[in-house]
Amino acid sequence: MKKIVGIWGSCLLFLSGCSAINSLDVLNPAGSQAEEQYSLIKLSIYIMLIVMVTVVVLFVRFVYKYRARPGYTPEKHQENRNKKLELTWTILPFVLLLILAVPMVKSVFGEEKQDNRGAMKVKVTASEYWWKFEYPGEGIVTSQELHLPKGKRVVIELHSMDVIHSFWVPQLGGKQDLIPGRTNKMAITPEKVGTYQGKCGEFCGAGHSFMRFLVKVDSQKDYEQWVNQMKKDNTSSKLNSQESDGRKVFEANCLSCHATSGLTSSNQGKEGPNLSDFGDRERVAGFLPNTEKNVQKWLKDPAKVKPGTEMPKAKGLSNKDYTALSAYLKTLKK
Amino acid sequence: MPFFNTQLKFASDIIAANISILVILVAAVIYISLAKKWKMTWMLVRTMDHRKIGILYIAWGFVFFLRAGLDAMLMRTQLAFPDFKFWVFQGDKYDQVMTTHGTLMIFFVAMPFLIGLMNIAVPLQIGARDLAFPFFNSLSMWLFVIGGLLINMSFVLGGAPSTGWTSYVPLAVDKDIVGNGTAFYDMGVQVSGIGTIMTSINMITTILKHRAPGMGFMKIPLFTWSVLITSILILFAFPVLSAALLILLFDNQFGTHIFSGENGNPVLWQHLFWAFGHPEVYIVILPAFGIFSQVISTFASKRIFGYSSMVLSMLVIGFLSFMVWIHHMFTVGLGAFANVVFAITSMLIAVPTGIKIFNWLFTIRGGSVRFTTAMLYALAFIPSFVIGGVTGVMQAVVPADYQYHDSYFVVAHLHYVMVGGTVLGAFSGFYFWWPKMFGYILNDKIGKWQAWTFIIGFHMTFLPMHLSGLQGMPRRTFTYLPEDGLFEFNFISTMGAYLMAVSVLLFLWNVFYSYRKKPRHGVADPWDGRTMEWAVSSPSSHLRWPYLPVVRDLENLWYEKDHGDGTLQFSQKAEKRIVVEKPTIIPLLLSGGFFTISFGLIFEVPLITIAGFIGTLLLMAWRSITYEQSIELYTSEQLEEAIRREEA
Repeated sequence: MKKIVGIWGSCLLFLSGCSAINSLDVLNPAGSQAEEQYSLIKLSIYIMLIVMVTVVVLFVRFVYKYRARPGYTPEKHQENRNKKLELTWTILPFVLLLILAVPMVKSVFGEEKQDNRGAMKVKVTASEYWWKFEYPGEGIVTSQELHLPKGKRVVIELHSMDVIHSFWVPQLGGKQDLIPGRTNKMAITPEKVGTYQGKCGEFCGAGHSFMRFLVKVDSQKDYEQWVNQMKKDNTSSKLNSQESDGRKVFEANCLSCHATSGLTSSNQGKEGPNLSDFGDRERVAGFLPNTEKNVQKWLKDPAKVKPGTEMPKAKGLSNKDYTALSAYLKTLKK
Repeated sequence: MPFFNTQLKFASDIIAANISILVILVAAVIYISLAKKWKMTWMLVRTMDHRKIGILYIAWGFVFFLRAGLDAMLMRTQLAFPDFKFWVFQGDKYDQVMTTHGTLMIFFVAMPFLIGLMNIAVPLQIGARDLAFPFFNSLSMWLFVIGGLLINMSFVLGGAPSTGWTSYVPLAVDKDIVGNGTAFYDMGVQVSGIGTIMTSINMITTILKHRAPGMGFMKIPLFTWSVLITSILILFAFPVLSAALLILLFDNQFGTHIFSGENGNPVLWQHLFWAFGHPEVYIVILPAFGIFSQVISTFASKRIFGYSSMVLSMLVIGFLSFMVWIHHMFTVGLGAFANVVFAITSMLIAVPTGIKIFNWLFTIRGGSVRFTTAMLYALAFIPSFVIGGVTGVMQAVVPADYQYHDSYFVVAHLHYVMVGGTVLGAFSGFYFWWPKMFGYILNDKIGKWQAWTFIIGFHMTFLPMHLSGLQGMPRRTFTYLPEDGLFEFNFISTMGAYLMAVSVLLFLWNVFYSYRKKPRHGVADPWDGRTMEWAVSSPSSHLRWPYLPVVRDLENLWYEKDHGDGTLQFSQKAEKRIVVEKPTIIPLLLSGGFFTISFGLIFEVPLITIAGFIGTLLLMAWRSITYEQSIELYTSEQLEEAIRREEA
């Protein structure tokens, strides 16, 4: 029996006191919605700890005290019902649930009633297995990296091109599904400058694990500067001979799907992720560090890097072409 | 290699699977031949005895348990290290074993384990000679086996289903991605679901109509009560699944667009699936509750505390289970009002469940606890299930659930209730009723080793998953990156999973060891039992009770031990017409018909489907025509005589 006590003791410690917990994403919020969710998580953990402790204490006590052993005979009169006790454990849970339910209902309807008129709008479109972010107010489009200003409420409109996905940035807020043929909305308000991981939360096929994105929260000023950069055309930057070779390769093989302009008005490349700021991005394919080695690895055999991806292997390219192509991609900067 | 409408590819994992299937088949044939068990096998596949059908349920369930467990080992190995590449189990292959693991564990392990135990214990507990419809019972069992085999075969026949046990559309009907996988899932679950519905009708009829004289509703043992309520849940929930699967079949095989496409509604599938799916989780937990009630009261040597509130809370749980399904869909965007209403109904389920937990605790209070293996499992259940329960309530808090939803937190929660409830319950039931099934007791020492390794392994595996979920690990991912900070949690989980595998092997060893050493005597009532199943011989005989036992108390056998000579009282009334079904091969053949239909539908060969339909109809006609020859009629005196002959 001591073993049981030991195990349960350590489990509870693990759940409540372990220092690693403070660094867990969900428990380290950086946005007001995530903050509110975190406070509800805390409240429910406290209430549930009361329940756990009660049960475990009674359990250990009864199992130990009433164990069969030589010299122990149970009382002749065995209690099989006790109205007072039964009423207690019927009513008390109601009280505990009420303590939990009231702030929950408040929070849900509170979020529902929020005024969205002054909010910034972003349209998110998910496809297997990448993310497109459109900023209708600014007329620009990005993929894989979502840039947001600090301290502003952002209403996110969620669309899906193919199957069901789910938009999840643990540190900024919980999930909302992206469902084909349906438009969902959610709001986040980032409160701290920083880079946050985003993930697809609903299983969407072989590449689900790598369907990631980054959210970059900047100060209002930096954000505006970034928007202005995005609006500029980046085709004018001077290219050396290798880079302009790469551009030719790009135009022959990639341009049909990938745009190099970050403006929503441009109608080139509707199928795949927009690459206008590829050289600035931290990641290639949504999850690998953006190094030349990784870019080439990705280009040479996309399906091997990211299972299930729709990006085909380019036909008939030499190693030199790949080097040129990756050199060109690096020049796509803001 | 072309195979009907698909291509078979022989990668290393497929070859390994094919070889192991071949080895197992050959070994089985050799064993049966050497041990001269062909006659016994022939008897077994035609049996109408509820005990033997129960054993077949559990045995096949165990086969699928090993397969699904192997899948779990492959998954945990793939997840042991960040960015790890184990064999072929990344991407689609991982999704295949993940889906097979979930589908098998729910439909083909949890269900048959429990239905098997129901078969064995219910008729004995209520003083019935068999279930109301033994033929149905046998057919249900074989349909379940066929369904399970279909799901298992898919891996080597062109690809297993790969979209999770929930099979969300439109992903599941995207043939470029899933191939025939969804069709296998659809037909496998559909066919076994038909069997499950028949079982529920069978159980309800048996419990309502075949109780021994004197057994009023408040004298029904709690396990049987749980089975009655479970069966009613099955009767209402499974037809919803059948309908949903039928529509899925049309979308998937015949190109309709009800769930998918421009005008289809993918959310409709989720509604239908969870309208079934949530009652389903109570379908697999209520019988486990029943088992724990029997085991705890037996080994605490005390009558169950608060019997009537136990029954009432099960009824309330069953009722509420139909109105909580939206809590699986909080992130779908159904609106604040729908989310809140279903959150509150979900929270309410905690109340009757809490009542049950406290009743079990207070059953122990004042008793005298004997720590047998069965009791160890039952005791381990209480705190484990409470963890699963409280994380369940936590997820009912809608805004917080936006974070938990579809993360490893959910994986942890569902395994805490499924393993901590259902699987611990099944093992407890195995150790408890094993003598009634086979006439020998499982070794207690090995049993305790097995129980402890299982319990420790279980917590090691699933406790860290709460934390990996909060760290942002989505469920159904085949890998994570080194920078995600998930390595420690996942590594502990993997080690725990291996420990559970060791425990399952220990169980097999225990079965083998105890069989060789079995004591033949004193196993009719080894636990000082309280209910009527412990008043018949072990293993229970198919022909029994020429005169039905009279029920004077909820714990009828205990009552006789306390007030009488310790044996049951029997009714004096002689019966004129006691029907006993003769063994027949028709259920097995019928399930073959269903297999043929499914095979034709999966591989889109209409001729095979039609042949299957015709065969099935002919077999049904044959059964109807030959019904009179397939039963034996006894009077009470003749049955008494037959039992005497059998014993000699």
